[in-house]
Amino acid sequence: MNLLGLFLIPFVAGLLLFLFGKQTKLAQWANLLFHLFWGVAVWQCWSNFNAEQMGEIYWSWNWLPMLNSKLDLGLDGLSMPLVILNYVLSLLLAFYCLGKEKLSSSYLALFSILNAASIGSLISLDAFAFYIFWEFMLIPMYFLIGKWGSKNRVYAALKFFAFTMAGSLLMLLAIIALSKTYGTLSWIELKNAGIVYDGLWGQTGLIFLGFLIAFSVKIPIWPVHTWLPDAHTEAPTGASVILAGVLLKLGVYGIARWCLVLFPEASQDVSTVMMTLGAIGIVAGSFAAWKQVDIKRMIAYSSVAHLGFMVLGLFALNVEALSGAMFQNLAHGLSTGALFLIFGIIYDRTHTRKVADYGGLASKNGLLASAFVFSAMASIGLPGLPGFIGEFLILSGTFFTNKIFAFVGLSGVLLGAIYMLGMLRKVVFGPVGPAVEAHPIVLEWNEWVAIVPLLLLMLVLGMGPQLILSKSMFSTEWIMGLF
Amino acid sequence: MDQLQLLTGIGIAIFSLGVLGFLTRRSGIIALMCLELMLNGVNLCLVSFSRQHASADGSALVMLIILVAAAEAALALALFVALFRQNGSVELDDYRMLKG
Amino acid sequence: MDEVFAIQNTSLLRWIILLPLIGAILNGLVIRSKNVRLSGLVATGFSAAAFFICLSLVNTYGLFAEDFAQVIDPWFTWFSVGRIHVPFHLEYTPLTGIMLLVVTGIGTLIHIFATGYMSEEKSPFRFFSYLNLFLAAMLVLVLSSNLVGIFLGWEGVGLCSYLLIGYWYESNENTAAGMKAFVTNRIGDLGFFVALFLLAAHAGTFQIQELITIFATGAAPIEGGIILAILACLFWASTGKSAQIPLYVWLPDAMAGPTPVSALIHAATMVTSGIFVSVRLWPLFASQPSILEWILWVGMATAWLAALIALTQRDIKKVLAYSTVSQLGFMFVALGVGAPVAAFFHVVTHAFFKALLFLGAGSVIHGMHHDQDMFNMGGLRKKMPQTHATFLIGTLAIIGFPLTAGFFSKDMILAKAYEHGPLAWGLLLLAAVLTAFYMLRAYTMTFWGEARTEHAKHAHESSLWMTIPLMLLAAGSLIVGFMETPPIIFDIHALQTAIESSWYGVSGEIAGHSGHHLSHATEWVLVLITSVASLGVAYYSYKKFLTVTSKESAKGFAAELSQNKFYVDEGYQLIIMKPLSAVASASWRFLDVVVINGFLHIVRDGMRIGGQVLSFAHTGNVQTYAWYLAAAVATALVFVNWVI
Repeated sequence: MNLLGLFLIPFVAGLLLFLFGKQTKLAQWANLLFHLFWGVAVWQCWSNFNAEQMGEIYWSWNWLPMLNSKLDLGLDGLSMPLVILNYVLSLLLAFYCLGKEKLSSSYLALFSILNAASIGSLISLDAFAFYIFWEFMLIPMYFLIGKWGSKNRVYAALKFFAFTMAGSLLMLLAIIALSKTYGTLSWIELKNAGIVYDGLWGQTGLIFLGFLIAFSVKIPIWPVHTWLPDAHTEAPTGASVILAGVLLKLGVYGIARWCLVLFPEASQDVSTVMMTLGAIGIVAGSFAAWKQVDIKRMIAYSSVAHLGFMVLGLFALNVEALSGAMFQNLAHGLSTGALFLIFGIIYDRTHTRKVADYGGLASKNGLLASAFVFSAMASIGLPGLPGFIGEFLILSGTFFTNKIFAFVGLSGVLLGAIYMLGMLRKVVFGPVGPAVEAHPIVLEWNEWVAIVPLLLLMLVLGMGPQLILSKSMFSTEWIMGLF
Repeated sequence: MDQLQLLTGIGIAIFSLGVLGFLTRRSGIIALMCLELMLNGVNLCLVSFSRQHASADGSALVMLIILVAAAEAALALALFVALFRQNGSVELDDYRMLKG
Repeated sequence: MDEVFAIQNTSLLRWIILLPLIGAILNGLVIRSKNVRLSGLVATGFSAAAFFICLSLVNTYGLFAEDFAQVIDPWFTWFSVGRIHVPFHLEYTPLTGIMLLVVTGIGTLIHIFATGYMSEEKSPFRFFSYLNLFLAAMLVLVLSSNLVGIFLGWEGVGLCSYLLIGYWYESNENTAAGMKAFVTNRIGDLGFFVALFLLAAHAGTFQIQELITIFATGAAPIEGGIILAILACLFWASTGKSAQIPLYVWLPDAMAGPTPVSALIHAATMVTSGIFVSVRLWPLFASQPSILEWILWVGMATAWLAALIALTQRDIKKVLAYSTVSQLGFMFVALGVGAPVAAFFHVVTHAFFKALLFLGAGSVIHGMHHDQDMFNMGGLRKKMPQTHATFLIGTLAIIGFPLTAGFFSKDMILAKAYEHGPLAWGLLLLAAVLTAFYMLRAYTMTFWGEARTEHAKHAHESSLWMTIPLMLLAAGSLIVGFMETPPIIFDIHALQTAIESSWYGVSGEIAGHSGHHLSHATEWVLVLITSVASLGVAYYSYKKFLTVTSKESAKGFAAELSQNKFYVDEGYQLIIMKPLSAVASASWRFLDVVVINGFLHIVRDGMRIGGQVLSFAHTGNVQTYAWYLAAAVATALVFVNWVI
C-alpha cells in the first residue's frame, strides 16, 4: 500500500500549484490532474486494504529518536472511510473550482496542502507525527479563511486558529509526557504497553485529558464550539465543505483512536460527563440553528448539533453506538458538505447570506431546489438516507447505556426538522425573494458534476450502509473489546 | 588591609562609579565614558585576582577586554556621530524608538 | 409452537415497490414533461403495473384461505451491527394483500383522476413524480416484514405528504401547512423511535413474525411492562400519523394540497397506517388490555371532537378532513374494544368512500373554479349529475345507509362496542349520528337548493378522466362491504378469516377476555336503532340545509367554538411553540453569545490589556534597560550568596 504516496501527492501538488502564479485557469485544470494521480493512490490503497487488522504499519521512518517518535504510516477500518471521504469531497470541490477567477492558484495550493495534512493525520500511527499533521492543518486553513473569506474573515480565522491551537498544546504536553514515561510514541506499542491508569487526576489521567480537550475543541463539543459558526460562515465555500466534511471528523476519529483505545478506563470515567456535553450540544446547537437569520451560520450550528450526536455515540461505549458514530462521520460529511456546496453555489451569484433576501428558489431553479431539499432531508435523518442509520445506531447504543441521553438526543431529531424545514420554507419555497429575483441562478456543468455524486452517494449509503458497516465492523468491535 | 585587597577595592569602586554614571547621566558620550570606566574597573579587579592566584589567566583576560573595549568604543562613537548628524542630539532620552 | 406455515420465497414483491419508484424517477428526472396527460399516464401506468402484480400475488397465494402459506422476499440486509439486526425483507400475508390491493387500486384510480384534475398545472411532472414516490413509500410500509422497514415507509410517506401538501409552494400558507404536517408527524415518530429502542434492548428483533410468535405468546421472557411501553409508544406514533388527539392538527391544514393528494394520502392510505400496523401487531396489543382501554377513549374523544368541528365548517374539504379524523377515531375505538377485524374493515370501506367523497369534492371544486366555500354553492346536482350521483353514494356509505359498505363496517364496530359496554356503544352511536348530520349538511348545501353564486350557476360536469374513477369508487363503496357481514345478514366472514390467518398461527383473543357474542335479536335491535337514528338525523339535516343563503353562518357560543376548531391550534401555539421558541432564543442569545463568546472575548481582551500593561516596561530608553540589568544581577547575587 503506497501510503507515502497518499500523503506526498497532494503535498507536492500543493507546492507545484504555487508556481502557477496568475495562471488561474491552468492551475485549476492542473489541480484536477493532480487529483487524478491522487485518485490512483487512493484506489491502490483501497484495493490492498485489509479491514481485518488494526494498526498494522506499512511504512516507517525513524525520524526523531530523541523524542521516541517514528513516522509510522498505516490504514485500518477506522481511518479508511475518512480517507475516501476526504478524497471524494476534494475531488468534487476541484470540479467546483473550475471557472472561478477568485479561486487562484495559491488557493488551490493551500487547499492541496490542507488535504495532505489531513490525510497525514489520518494515516499516522505515531503520536508525534499525528500531532505535527494535526497542527499543520491549521496553517492553510487560516489563510484560506483569512484571505478568501467574507466580511468578518480575519476575526473568524484568528479565532479558529487560536482556539484549536490552544487545545492542541495540551495534547503536545500529553505526548511529551507519554514519550518520557513509556519510551515510545507508536500507537500499537502504546496500546500493547498497557498504560496504567491511576485515576483521572493522576499522570495517566492528565495525559488522557490533554488528548481529550484537544479533540473536544476540534469536534467541537459544547461549550468549546463557538469558533465553528464563525469559521464556517466566513470561510469560502470549498473551505466550509472540507471543514465540515473532514476536519471536524478528525476530532471524532482522534477520540476513537487515541482516547478510547489507549485509555479505556479513563474514557469510562468521563463518559457520563461527555455524554452530557454531547446532549447539551445537540439541544443548544439546534436551538441556535433555529434562531439564525444567516443561512450558513444556521448550517454551521446544525453541524454542532450533529456532532453532539457523535459525541453521544463515542461515549456510550458500546459497539452499536460507536459504529453509528463512525458511520455518521460519513453521513454528516456528505449531507452537510452538500448543503454548504449548494448554498455556496447560490451565494456565488447572490452574495448575501441573509434569509430575508431569499425565497422562492424552487420557482427559479427546480433541480437545484430539489437537491437542496434532498440534502436537508439527509441532514435531519430521513430514513433511506444515511443520517438515519447513524442517528438510529447512535441513539440505540445510547439507550442501552443511559435512557435519558437517548431521549435528549431524540429531541434533537425533532428540533432538526423544525429548524431545517423552517429554513427551507423561507429560502426554497414561498414567494420569490429580492436576491433570487435579481440574480439568475443557472448552474454551470462543473457545478452539477460537483453536486450530483454527493446526492447519489447519500442515496447509496442510505439504503446500502452495510457496505461500509461491514468494513468498519472489525475495528469497532476490536475497540469495544478493550473495555 | 594588604595591597591586593586595596587594589580589588579600588577596582570595585571604579566599577561602581561607572555603573552609577551609566545609569544616571543624560549624555550618551558620558554614558560611553562610564561604560569604559566599568570595563577598566573590571580590568583592575582581574589584575588583582590574577596576582592573588599567581596565574596569568586573569591578565590574559584583561588583554582581551582592553582589545574589545577599544573596538567597541570606536564603534559606539562612530554610531553617536552618525546619530548626532541625523538628529542633532546625543542625549539618551531622545532615542525611544524601541518603546512599546 | 409448531410451525404450520410453509414459507415461500419470491422476488416478485420487490417489484411492487420498485415500479412506482422507477415511475417517480422517470417522471421527475428523465422525462420532465409539461404535458399533463403524458406525465399522468406514465405515473398511472406504473401504479397500475404495481396493482396488477398485487392482483397476481393475491391470485397465486390466496387471500381468504385458512391455512395460509407465508410469502417472503428476502431482499437484502439493510444494516446489522451488534445487537441491532435490520434486514430489508418484504412479506405478504392476507392482511397485507388486502391493504396492497386497496393502496394500489385506489391509488391508480386517483392517478387517473389527477390526470384530469391537474389539467392546468404548469409542471405536472413534479406532481406525478411525487405521487409515485408516495406510492412506493406506502408500499414499503405495507410490505416490510420488520418495524424498521415500516418506519422507512412511515417517514417516507411523511416526506411525500410534506412535498405534496406544499405542492403549490408559491403561497406561504401551503408551505406552512406542509411543514406543520412534517413536524407534527415527527413528534409522533419520536414515539416510534423509542419503541424501536425498547425492542432493540429487550426483544433483540424487529421482525413482526418473531414479535408475535415469541412475545405475544409469552414464549420468551420479557416483562409485560416493556411490551406495554412499546405499544404505548407505537400508539403515540399512530396519533401523529393517523391524526388522533393530540397530534391530529396537521390534517385539516393539509387540505391546502391538491385534492387528489387529500384523497390518496389523507383519506385512503397514509392516515390509516397507524391502524394497519396495529392490526399487523394485534396479538401483542391483545396481550395488554390496559393499552386497549386507553386507545378506546382517545379514539372516542377524537371521533367526537372532530365531528363537533365538522358541524360548522364552510369549506367542503375541511368538512371531509374533520370527517376523516373522526372516522379514524372510529377505527381506533374498534381496536380499543378488541375488534381488529372491524377496525381494518372500516379502513378498507373508508378508503373507498372517503376517496370517493374527496374526489367528488375535487370535481365540484374544479367546476366551481376553485371556490371551496359551500355557502357559495347550491343546486349543483343539475349541473354535475355524475358527480352528484357518486357523491350521494359516498355520503350514504359514510352515514351507514343499509347495505352500503359503510353500513357493514360501521355496524360491526358498533356491535363490538356494545359487546364491550353500553357506554362506549352509546357514545359511538351519537358520534355516528353527528356524522350523518354534518355529511348531509355538506351534501345538501352543495348539490341542492338554489345556486347561490355565479360560479355555481355556470358550473359544468367534469371530464371523463374525473368521472370514471368516481363511478368506479362508487361501485366499490357499494360492493366492498360484502366481504364481512354480520350473522343476521348473509353471515360472510371472509375478511375475518383473512386477517386471523395473518398472525402466524397466534390467536387474536384478548388476554383474560371471555368475549361474549350478541344474540341475533340484540343485533337486529342495534342495527335498527343505528339506521333509524342516522337516517332520521340525515333527513332532518337535509331539510334544514335545503334553504340556506350565502350569508348565513351558525351563531352562538357553541357554534363559534366549533368554527374555530375549539382553539386547539391557538392553544398549542401559546403553550408549546411560543415558549419553546423563547427558550431557543434565550439559549442562543444568552448562552452562546453572552456567556461563551463573552468569556472568550474577556480572555482575548484580558490578554491584550495584559500585553499593553507589560509593554510599559519597554521605555525605549537604554538606561532603563541598564537599570533592569543591574537589578537582575543584584538580585542574582543576593540569591546565590544568601539564599542558596
